[in-house]
Amino acid sequence: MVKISFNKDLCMGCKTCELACAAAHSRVKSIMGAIKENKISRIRIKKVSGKIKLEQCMLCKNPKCMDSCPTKSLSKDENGTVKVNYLTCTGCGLCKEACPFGAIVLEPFPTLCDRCEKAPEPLCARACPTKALKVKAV
Amino acid sequence: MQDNRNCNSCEPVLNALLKKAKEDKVETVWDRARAMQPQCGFGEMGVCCTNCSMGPCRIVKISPDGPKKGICGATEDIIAARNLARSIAAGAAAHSDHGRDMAEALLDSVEQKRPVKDKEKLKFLAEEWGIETSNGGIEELAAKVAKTALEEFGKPFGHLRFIERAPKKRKEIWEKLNVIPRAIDRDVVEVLHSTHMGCDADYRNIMNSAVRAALSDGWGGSMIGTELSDILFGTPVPHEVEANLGVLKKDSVNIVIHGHEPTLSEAMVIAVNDPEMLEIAKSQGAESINLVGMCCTGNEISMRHSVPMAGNFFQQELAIITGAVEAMVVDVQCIMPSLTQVSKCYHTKLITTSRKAKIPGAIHMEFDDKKPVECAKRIVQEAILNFKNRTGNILIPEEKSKGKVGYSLEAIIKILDGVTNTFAHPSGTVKPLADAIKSGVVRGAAAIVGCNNHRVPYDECHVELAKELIKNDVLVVTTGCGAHACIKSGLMSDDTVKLAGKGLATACSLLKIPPVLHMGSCVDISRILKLVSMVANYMDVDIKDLPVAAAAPEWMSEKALSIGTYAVASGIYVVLGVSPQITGSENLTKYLTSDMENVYGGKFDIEPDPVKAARKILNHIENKRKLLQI
Repeated sequence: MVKISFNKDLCMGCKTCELACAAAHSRVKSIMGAIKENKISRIRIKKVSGKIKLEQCMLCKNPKCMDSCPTKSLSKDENGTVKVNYLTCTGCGLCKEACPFGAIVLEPFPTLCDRCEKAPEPLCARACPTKALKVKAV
Repeated sequence: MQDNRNCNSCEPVLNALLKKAKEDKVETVWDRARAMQPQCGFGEMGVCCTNCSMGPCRIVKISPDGPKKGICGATEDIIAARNLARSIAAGAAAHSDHGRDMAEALLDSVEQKRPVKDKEKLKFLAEEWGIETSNGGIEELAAKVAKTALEEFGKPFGHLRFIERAPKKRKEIWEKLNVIPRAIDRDVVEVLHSTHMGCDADYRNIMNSAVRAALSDGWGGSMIGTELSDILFGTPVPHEVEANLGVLKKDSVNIVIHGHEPTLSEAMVIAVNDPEMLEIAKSQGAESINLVGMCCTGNEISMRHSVPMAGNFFQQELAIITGAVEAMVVDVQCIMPSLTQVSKCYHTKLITTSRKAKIPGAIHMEFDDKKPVECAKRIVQEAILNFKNRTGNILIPEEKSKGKVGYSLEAIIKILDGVTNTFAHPSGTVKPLADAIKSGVVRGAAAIVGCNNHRVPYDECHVELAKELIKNDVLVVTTGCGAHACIKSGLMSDDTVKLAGKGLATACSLLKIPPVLHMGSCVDISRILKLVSMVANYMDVDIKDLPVAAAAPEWMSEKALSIGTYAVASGIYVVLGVSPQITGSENLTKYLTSDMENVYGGKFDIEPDPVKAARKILNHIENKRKLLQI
């Protein structure tokens, strides 16, 4: 299970991680590709009441998103990430409301961080210029 | 981004219209500022370089193993200084191009036999520039002055003529540092050249180039803009105007003119007063045509024609949100591209007029200097015909305030002449002002200029700073969006003397002026430069010795950076309410906020809190007084 640590004191708010994430999930693996394909980022840097906040799937032990899903379309993969069954998902958004970390965005189906399972390491952390995002394999 | 606003004058207008914006589902500058959070720290610190395509490069200071140099080897000092210098050059370019347009307008007016308004000033300027005034008519003289002004932009030899207006000691400092501007365009180009990849790598030298470009703005382009505007359209004299969005009228065709150059707005003033236009308006069911000004164009025409001032930079969207504006007519600078989206939600027509500033979604009706009034009439007609499209969704705030504007340098000197002894003293000098400062009745003077910025509370910083300064007997002069903020809060009305300290109040009552003087638009900061030069010359000191300061509490534009830089290089202490994008380089920050004082006598200071900024300015003024032994 790949855990990503976030040090908000190091974060400069440049959102390079967001661009890298969208690029990683595009077919051509580029920012331009992501824009063309309407790929959205699965990580977001926000500022909430003056403080930097990270929105990304935390790989909960008992994910609330899964519990809330009325069609049981969310399941946990062996590497700990949550997967969506696009055949049964209705895009109702209850999972989005249930997530305490604001990690889910509907486009129109839920998008969740997959820790870049096809790449050697999560590309958000690799792209971070200040190492505010760091990979911690657990 | 701060949401706490305590400005009594602006708060009701703002709250009411922001509520309406929300109901109408219209996005405003405040929404976009909120959505933009967090803003990129690299850009904020000025350590992101995109000057070549090996980049973008950024200096990562925050983690020990991050890159400390760009791919070409540029350090944080070089990158931050280059970025700042380019911004200053862009600001100088904007102001100076405005000046050039005024020179061209003067030349056009001669060709079309339109008489200039201030012949006296034309003669003075011609004499100052060594142009023969005795033979030939006024037209010939105006043409010569316009051509000489145009030469200032690209002459191959010599230096700018207006530099001679600076005190002798100031010129010596500039000469020693080799920063005397030669030709306006050349000095802007030189900054762009020296900040090109692989050119200047010494941040102090980069700043020297930037200072030269900035001086070519303040003592060049801006000064030409102000002087020629006065000649063409008349030198402002004090009078009362109304301000704030309450100046919009429910039953009239409301036209907001927004932007900077007075050529368009002057023609608009003529067009809206045309009986033919009024007749068309009446035939469309409107009572009259109500022209109001916004931003610096608002300042220009309120100074010359008492046209009401609708508001400053952050109020441009709100004006349309009232639902009562038939047309917003814009030319150049500080026009938010968002205006097209806002105007689409209402019946308002956004009309762009300059080939330098087109906005997709707006109606482009290009302004032709050769046929100014015809162009303006077409625009006014477009607005009138839009009156019938008004919906019932209208909210015009009741708030409006009154204040005195029109304090050009000539007007101030005329007022000062009123209190000189006709037998003992020559008229036309700044003696009474210098005497008041020397005696300590007035402790000093401060200029409050600049824009609006979401990083600090809107308008409040201008107003609180002004109040704090006049309370401590410091005369305040303002221009630009700062002037809008002050007049809206009533600081330019006669009874403001109540808020002033005893000494300043006495002086103001005697002169019958408010303690906060409106000196014009942002190019008119050159009026302030000329005033401080006159006082310095009269007291036989340098500008840096005077008990004066400047502040830009809510600045945001590149023009403001250029203004700040020429003020500092002219020896003035400048307090900024928002930090420029330089903090990534400690060396550059130290250079601007401390080392520059040893070289130029002026420096930057950064203080977002208006009360603390006032304290800093007051300390600076008292220090200078001590050094002058007054």
